[in-house]
Amino acid sequence: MSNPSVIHDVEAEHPHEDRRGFISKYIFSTDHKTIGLQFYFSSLVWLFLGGLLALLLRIQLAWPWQRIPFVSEELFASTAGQMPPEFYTMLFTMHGTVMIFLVIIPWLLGAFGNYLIPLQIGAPDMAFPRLNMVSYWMMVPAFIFFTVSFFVEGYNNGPAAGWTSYPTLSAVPEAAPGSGAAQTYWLLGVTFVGISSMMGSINYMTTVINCRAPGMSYFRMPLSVWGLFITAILQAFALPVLTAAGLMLLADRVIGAHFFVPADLWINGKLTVGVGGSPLLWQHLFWFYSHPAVYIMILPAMGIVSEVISTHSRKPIFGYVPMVLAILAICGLGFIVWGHHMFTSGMNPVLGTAFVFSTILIAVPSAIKVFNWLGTMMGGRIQLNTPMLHGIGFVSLFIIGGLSGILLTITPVDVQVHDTYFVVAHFHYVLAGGSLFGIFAGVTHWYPKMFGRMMNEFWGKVHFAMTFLFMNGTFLAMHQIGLAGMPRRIADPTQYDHLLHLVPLNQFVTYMAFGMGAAQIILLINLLGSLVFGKKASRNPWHANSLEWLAASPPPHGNFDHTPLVYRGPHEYSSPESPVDYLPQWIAPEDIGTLKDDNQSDDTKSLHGGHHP
Amino acid sequence: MAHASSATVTPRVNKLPVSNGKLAIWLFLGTEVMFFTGLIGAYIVLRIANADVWPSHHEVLNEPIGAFNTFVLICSSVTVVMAHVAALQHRYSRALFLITITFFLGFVFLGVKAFEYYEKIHHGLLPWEISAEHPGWRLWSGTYFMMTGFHALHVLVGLIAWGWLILVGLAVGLRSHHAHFIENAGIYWHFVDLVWIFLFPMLYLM
Repeated sequence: MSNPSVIHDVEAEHPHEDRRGFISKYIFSTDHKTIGLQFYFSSLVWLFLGGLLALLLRIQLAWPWQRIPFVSEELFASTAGQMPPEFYTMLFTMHGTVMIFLVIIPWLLGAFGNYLIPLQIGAPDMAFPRLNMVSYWMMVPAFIFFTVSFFVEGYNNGPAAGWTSYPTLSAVPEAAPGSGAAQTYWLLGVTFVGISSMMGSINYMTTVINCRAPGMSYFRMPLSVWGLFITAILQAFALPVLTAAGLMLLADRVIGAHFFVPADLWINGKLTVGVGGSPLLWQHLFWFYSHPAVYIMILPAMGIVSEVISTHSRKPIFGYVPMVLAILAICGLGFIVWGHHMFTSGMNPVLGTAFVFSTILIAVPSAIKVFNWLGTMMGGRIQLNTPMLHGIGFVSLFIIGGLSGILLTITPVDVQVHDTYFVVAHFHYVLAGGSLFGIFAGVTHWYPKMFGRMMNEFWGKVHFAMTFLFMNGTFLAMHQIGLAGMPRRIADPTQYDHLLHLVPLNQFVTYMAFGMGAAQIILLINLLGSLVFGKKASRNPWHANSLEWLAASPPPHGNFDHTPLVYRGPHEYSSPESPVDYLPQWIAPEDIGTLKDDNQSDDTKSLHGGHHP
Repeated sequence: MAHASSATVTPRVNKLPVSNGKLAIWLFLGTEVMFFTGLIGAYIVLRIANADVWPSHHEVLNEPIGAFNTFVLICSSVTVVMAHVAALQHRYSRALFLITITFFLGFVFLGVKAFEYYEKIHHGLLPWEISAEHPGWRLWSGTYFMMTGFHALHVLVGLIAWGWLILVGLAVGLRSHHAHFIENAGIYWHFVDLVWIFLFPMLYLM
């Protein structure tokens, strides 16, 4: 331990020899990396399923009630090949549910959270490896319940109350075709996602607080860890409210409690007697979690992109401490802005004004982050490789989504465009443009570490270019469609004369969406193909500073050969102290001179190509 | 960031002076606070909105029984602290005895709760049995069973922890590391008591 920067040959010595069998190594693994990859690949599968749901939505919006090749013959035989409206409501409900609960949150928090936190803080594993394993296996009942909810009452009667599941649609089984058993299974699915996330976030918080390597003070942690840490806090203290609300909604459905069913409710011309419950109460409880959920879906991406931009600009992150404080500010403000989803639901205008004010305040830390990313790139030696392209894509698309967000929080504007495609455009810029590009940046940046091989650069860039182009094609036009007055969540906009002129624009959006879907197939092929055909990656192919690049690629069980000692912050790029353009956190001051300038050498040839004495 | 090296000669270990387990229990209880906040918040909102039709606690609850149960739970909080102290002093048989009393008191609480539930069922106070002529009663019933039901589930989880510890104590005897277990489970147990301290006045007295 006297000189921790000396790295022994892992392959030769097997310091953590792995005697686990196949099942304990890959299925019921307690290793944070395997659990991370389990989240990673299940999210990848659900990404394609959620994407297919979106494409079906787009087909219906572009060519309402037309026959759909292959799909109509299989699913819509009883309705002469037309998509039934309740099938359409199921589509948008499950598209949102899958993308939020099964793709973005588990990918950012489950996959990157698990994989990166112990590696980047220099820990051998999470604080509670078994709890970690259970947190993944709690996702499996959720997968099953959501899948069952598609079929339990026939494919035309899937959950249909939207991903927000507002009562009374979600509380009264007679309210809509999908409000029966399917809605109950949907709620069970959300409950299990909640249990999984709660276990995960307690584990992440404990690990970050108590398991950092010697020298890894809070303000030496990479921003990706900061993003994940703050997100874990946000999730731990916001999510239980949704769990409670979901259980109350379940009680409404199963034991007739009527928490959310108002008195004297007319459904399909029939008086359903409620007892004075409050549908608005659900909206408050739901958004108390689900607005923070928006930050749960963006803060880890912000952290990932900060690391990617700093590394590939070969410059220290501009304003590290303000970046951390901005994440904290977004977290704190995130708890007091939920009402801005409910301006048209009925709200005291004074309360509404308070929510407007707190929401606009969030623009300040968000802008600080954007300026700091730009400041980091300014004057940097930018390496325009795939991770960096995705990072830049994130910043540019996040700006658009953020600006339309400020517009939407102004109550008079919101009342005008509420529930139109303008809102859909806004949150897709943040979630598809922001979160998804953040995920792609992370996927490509840490691919060599996770799988020990380099991703194909050419196809990586093609994937980026196509995704960026088609993403803007898909969602930019939606702003215009929304301002023209097209509401969301209707199966056929052409039934309104004033929306007829939007048909060509809707068809354009659909073509673009298909392009975006096709681009993801390139990602999938590149991801899987590079596992076999990619060049072998060295320990530190990007010449990055943070601790995960000290471990082997991929890191063995137990991660590090020795407990690393940390001597500095994670962004010391182009430091005058160092003979090369990076200065890893683990290099002791007296060893700095031994760093060699091997930028020109093909470090992928050497399997253990660390830059160590 | 400045490039000046802020390196300390020997990197300092950064962690809180508490064990991972204790830290995680406190964080977990934070999430539990938010969970019960959701349930209790819903109760407050629904009750205020339906104040004119809400049943009085005389009509639906037996206050002396509730008070007795509160006393039982508070006593169990005392015995668990005494058990922790005994374990720290290496008086393990005394610790085991006090844990057994804690278990017994928790068991009594659940038994009394079960009797109260039996009475509610007997009087037709389950949510789906209350007719629409008593709208406030139905909401009261839903909130009552949600809050006390999830509280009782938490007591049950605590009983499982104490029961496991008693079995270990009887089989192989308690050791010094069980003091940590008693402390962590005790923190949880205090929280469960505290939830009841909120529920009791809200349901039985106000």
